[in-house]
Amino acid sequence: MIWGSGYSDTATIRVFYIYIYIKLFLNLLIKLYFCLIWFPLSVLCLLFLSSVALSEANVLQSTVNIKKLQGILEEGLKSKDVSTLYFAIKGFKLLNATIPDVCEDLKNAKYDLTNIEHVFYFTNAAALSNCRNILKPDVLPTPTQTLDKKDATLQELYYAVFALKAMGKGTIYDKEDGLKNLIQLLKKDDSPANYGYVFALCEHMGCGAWTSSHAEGVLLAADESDSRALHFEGGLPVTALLLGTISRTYKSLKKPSPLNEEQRYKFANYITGRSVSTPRGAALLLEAANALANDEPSPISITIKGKKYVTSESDSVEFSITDIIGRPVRGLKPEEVIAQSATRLADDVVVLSKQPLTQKPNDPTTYVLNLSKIKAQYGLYKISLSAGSKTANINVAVLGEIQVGSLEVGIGDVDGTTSPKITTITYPNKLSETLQADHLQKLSLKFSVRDKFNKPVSVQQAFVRVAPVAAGAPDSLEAIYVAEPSANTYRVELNVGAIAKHLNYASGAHSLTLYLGDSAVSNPIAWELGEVIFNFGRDANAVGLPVRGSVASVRVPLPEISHQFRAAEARPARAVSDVCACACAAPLLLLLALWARLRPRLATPPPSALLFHLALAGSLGLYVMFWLRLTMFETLRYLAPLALLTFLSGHRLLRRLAQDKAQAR
Amino acid sequence: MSSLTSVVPKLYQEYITKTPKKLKIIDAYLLYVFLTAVIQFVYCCLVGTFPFNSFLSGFISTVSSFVLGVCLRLQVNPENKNEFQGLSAERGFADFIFAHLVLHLVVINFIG
Repeated sequence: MIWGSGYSDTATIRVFYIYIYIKLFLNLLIKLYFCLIWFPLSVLCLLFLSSVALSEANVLQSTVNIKKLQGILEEGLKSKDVSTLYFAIKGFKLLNATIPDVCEDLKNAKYDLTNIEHVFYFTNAAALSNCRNILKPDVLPTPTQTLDKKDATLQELYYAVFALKAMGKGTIYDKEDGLKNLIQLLKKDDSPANYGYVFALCEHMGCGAWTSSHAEGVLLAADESDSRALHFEGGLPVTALLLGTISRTYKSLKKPSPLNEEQRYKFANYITGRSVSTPRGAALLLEAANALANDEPSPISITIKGKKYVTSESDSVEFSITDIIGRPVRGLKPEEVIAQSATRLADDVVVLSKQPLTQKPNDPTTYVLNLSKIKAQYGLYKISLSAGSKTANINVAVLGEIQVGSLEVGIGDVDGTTSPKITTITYPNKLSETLQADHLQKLSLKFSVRDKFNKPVSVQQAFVRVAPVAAGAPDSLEAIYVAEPSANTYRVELNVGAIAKHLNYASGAHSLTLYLGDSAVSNPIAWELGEVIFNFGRDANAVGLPVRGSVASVRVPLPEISHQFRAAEARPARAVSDVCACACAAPLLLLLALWARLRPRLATPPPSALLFHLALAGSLGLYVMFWLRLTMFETLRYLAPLALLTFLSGHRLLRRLAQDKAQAR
Repeated sequence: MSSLTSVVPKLYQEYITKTPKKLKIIDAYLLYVFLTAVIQFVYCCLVGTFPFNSFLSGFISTVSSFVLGVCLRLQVNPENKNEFQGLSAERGFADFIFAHLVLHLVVINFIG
């Protein structure tokens, strides 16, 4: 057989290479098109979105929870660890709270005098809590050695200098040289943390001018997350250190803060968004928050205080307007706090404008907004509240009461040939008799929802639940239908034949319950209407049988997908193939016949010619072996010497033939 | 039509008498290869191409053999001597053998 020896996938793959290349090229073109057209569009969209986000971020949504932080700090004072004690004491200092007597605890705390960090915590904790008398001269060597060390890092220098400062050893640094050394170290690693240490050391050494010339650049290097919060690489410790040192330095230089308003709010967002659980975190959070709160103008926070809704009994909501650490906003006059507008979210109707708030007499951070004007209609309202130049949008719910007067239950034919039989019930009564409906009938419910003033309203949720009442019926076997509102009334049409599949075709008594609810409704209603006996006809199951199929079978893994090779096509019969193979071989006979007729001169070949012919025949024989059983690599390994032999012998033979011919001439 | 009947025998006579024997041997080979290709193609039309790689490799083998044969014939033909200055008939035959070895290595690989 010439072909038909076997089938391999490689052939098809090769044949389709070109197809794949063309496809790839087209893909590339399409991608290029998208890049050119859609990329600028998406950039524009992003810019637009970020500008929207910026305009919304002009007040804080929350403040730092001082009470919680104080609790954490008090817990920290009981610790035996020197760093925890230091941060707890520092936190108390930042809160301006009186620091309890911790000298004994500090003396007994665990610390390692050869560790510069421990020495720093120990000396500074002692200095902050006025326990300098527990400091012995044995704490001195480590900081002084650190200062003499050639390869001290900025962090170690910071610890050493401030440890010495806490012991009252004054400045050891020569200002000019010191700053030069620090800048050299900063060149090696100019991380925000290192800038923070240099700023802090500068504060001590009196090179605040250098700080002020570099602070703005450092602030620009802050990382932004979600385009609403800013922080420095290294997280809260670095952010607190930098904000604290920059704020103090500028204050001592009597310069306005280098932070712009956007940066202030973004840093504040970062700080208020952090939740801490250790005294260290609490102290750092307080340091950063204090730095922002003491800035002018400090970020303000407008939040709702207490309940976020008004009812008919209480018609006012309270807002808390503070700075980031919960203090009254400096320079904010009570008459500047105004509710600019209130908009009903359901229909965008403005119901209130320019209503001033009143400050609570004994609480300067709390402002009260009276909403008696809008409490008549319940719903969600968006209140735009401005304090000075800042405006915040806050959603407030006006809760109302709803009532449902009467409800009509009708049972009629699906095709509507006969007028339905209607039963009317009033809330909260039940159906006096059990109704019956079969699979050719439909059950319809009609009711209207009204508010306290008997005005028809619509609610967010209006459902009817149908569930079997028979004992033993599974709890999950229930069906809930949405009531459709139309012109002040709600309707539910239950086609008994169609709902059978939701109820497992279980004929029998079913309970009907009406549910009405809304996020702005203070009295959601669940009204048990009574029972209906459904007869689902010949498809029916007995009530209480397990659920047929569906629910359980949906949650099993799908059958595994296994790759399937293309099935081989039917091949011709053996006889056909054999005949055709012979037909293909037939011209060979013709060739031999023709050659025989031509009678070529066949001289007895010399030995080298014999070698050549043998080698060539060997190569072709090897090809046959390759076809039948060998792999490409094996074939090449055998072919290499054979080919060399063929080449050499053939070269010799042909050269001699050519020479003979030349001589004959 | 009458001219055709007179031309064909004359052409055949010319071929028989004027063509060197070597070229006739090559022509016989070319005819053989050509007929094999035709039979393969007819088979593919009648029965189908199912092991497509096998059909392709067989067909490509005949077509390329034909092309190589024609190349050899061109190079060996004494009338083309000026075209192939410095290239002997032996050199042409060596090239023919080499090309065949490479071609059939690929064909056998592809035949599956």
